[in-house]
Amino acid sequence: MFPTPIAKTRTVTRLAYRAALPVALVFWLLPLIAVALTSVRSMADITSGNYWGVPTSINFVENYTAIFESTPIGRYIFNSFRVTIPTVIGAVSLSCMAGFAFAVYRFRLNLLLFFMFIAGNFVPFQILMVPVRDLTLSLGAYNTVTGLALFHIAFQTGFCTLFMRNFIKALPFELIEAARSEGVSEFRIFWFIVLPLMKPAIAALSVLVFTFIWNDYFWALVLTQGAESQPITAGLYSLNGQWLAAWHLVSAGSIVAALPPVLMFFLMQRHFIAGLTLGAVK
Amino acid sequence: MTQNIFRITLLTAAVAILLPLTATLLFTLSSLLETPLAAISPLSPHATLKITFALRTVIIAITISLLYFYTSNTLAKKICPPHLNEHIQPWLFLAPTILLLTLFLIYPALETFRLSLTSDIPTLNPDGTPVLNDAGQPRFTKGFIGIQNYTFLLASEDFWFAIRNSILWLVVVPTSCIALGMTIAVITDKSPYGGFVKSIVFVPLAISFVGAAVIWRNIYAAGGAGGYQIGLVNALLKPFNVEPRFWYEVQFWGNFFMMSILIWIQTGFAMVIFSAALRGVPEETIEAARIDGASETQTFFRIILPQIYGTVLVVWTTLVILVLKVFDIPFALTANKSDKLLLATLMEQTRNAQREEEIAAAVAIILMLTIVPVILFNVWRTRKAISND
Repeated sequence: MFPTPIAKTRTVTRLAYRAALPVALVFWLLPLIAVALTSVRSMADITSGNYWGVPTSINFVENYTAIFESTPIGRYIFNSFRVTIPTVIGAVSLSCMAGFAFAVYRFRLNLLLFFMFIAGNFVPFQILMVPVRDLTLSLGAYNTVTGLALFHIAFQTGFCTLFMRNFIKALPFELIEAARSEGVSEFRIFWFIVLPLMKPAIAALSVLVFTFIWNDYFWALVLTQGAESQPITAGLYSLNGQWLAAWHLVSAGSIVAALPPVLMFFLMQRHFIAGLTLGAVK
Repeated sequence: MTQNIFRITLLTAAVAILLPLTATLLFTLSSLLETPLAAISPLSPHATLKITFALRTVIIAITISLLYFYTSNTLAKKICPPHLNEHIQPWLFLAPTILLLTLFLIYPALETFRLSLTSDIPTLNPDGTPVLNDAGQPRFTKGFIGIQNYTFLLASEDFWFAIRNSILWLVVVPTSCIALGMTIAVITDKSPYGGFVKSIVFVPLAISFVGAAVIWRNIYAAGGAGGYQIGLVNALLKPFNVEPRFWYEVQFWGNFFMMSILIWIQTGFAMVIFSAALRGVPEETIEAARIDGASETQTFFRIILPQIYGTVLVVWTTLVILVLKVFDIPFALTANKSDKLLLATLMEQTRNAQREEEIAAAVAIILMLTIVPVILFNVWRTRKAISND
């Protein structure tokens, strides 16, 4: 279809087209390539101004051990996992149940509540900032991983419920009706019939929520401070301030910070894309 | 009727008493395990304590939620007659979510609105003179001041900078992402390397905004040693005798350098969604257009685009909302001069740097208002989709 079949065009255009794609790709990845390259340079390269030439030595091991030894980056990453994993479990399981209720039952407030969920999905998080901070302070959850995770669960549930509701709605309703007429209890229907069918949605949503939460910076900034409980995004920001001129360390740090979600993406690419498409198109 | 209410109350009470009781019991019982565990654990007592505490919390939370569903369902069946049970069922599934959303979403939103109408005002004696504290300074209490925070904002220059920049971002970022994403989606649609190209374009989407900002700082930065430039842009421009600078700090145009970071991240999103949509366009319609002699451009704009118009709209709304909330990128680049402010960064600045929580709340409410039309549009669209089901 589009663009014009290559065979029909002139040779020059064809060559230009062939060359344009790799060039564009390199350009797209240039920031990442630059950072990766800088992250293995030696301090000598940095001080002598050898930023863009061939590195005099590959200091991969030195630089990456240096950031783990001289900064609490390991701690930050550990915190990120401590926030992200419970959030994924909590938000996905709550939304499975809420989505089930919205998709399966017809009750008076169904639509109204459902629209509230849609609206909640779009609420700018800034509007919650000040009260949520006060709330976590008074609950004693300020600057704790638990407080951050709890809030993330609440904030993600809106989106997740929408996602799950749409997925369950597309399942064959006859299955549920058949089970009901057999006298199976609602909880068993949910647990033994609907839940197994939701596996692809659960996988997709988990990957998506993992990336969202791992990459969150705003709430980490509002609800935590210090290496004790801050996740890697906030950690990267404070390290960035410490390392101002140590470009090789900044680069290594940002690579380490980006690695878990990027790895997750490459390993679960199918689910990730399925999640994005399902979340947006429906 | 009264009997029904009684039954529902009984059910709620039973669940409300039973669950916290079990949770406390489990916590107390499991804390008994701590001492023997600390004795055999190879880790330091402090670390062991923390890890076991985390494990206990997770296990108990899961147990309690399972227990909640099991008992509430069984109890509902036992206590309530079938016709009532039918009405209660959905609420049993929704209750935890609604509770959480009320506490962390609805209440804070309303509280922000209330806060935006208050300020510190001097406490007055009955005769109208201010109450003084021990140091002889007037004492302040929180009080209702109507829309004064808003009028203050409307009169401030920074606010209008934030509005101008937000509009700029709103116009440039979604448009560029959609145009770029669509181009890539169309080009890679039938290409043998399509999957590979898409993966590459998609990678930035997995990186956090802060991470991306730090990465791009390497590209836009100025400075370095030995007459060399650390920033790629400055290094490339050096032969042309362009004065090195931090490109995202340039007056006004710096905004566009920051936008490019967000475009870099979000193009992958637009591309993925459009790719899926393009695959849904029936091949016959394109064939028919081609047989009728339509050019490729005509086919795209007249045949393909109208069929995936709905998807374009979805991507556009998603990006608009995302852009309005953008905060991390300018913040991480410490681009906090007036001409780089966005609504979200202005808010953080008033809250954190100037300690004016009430004015920050007013900014948040204005931010919310700008999103309301988009929300309504989405609700309306979903409603239409539901009625078409």
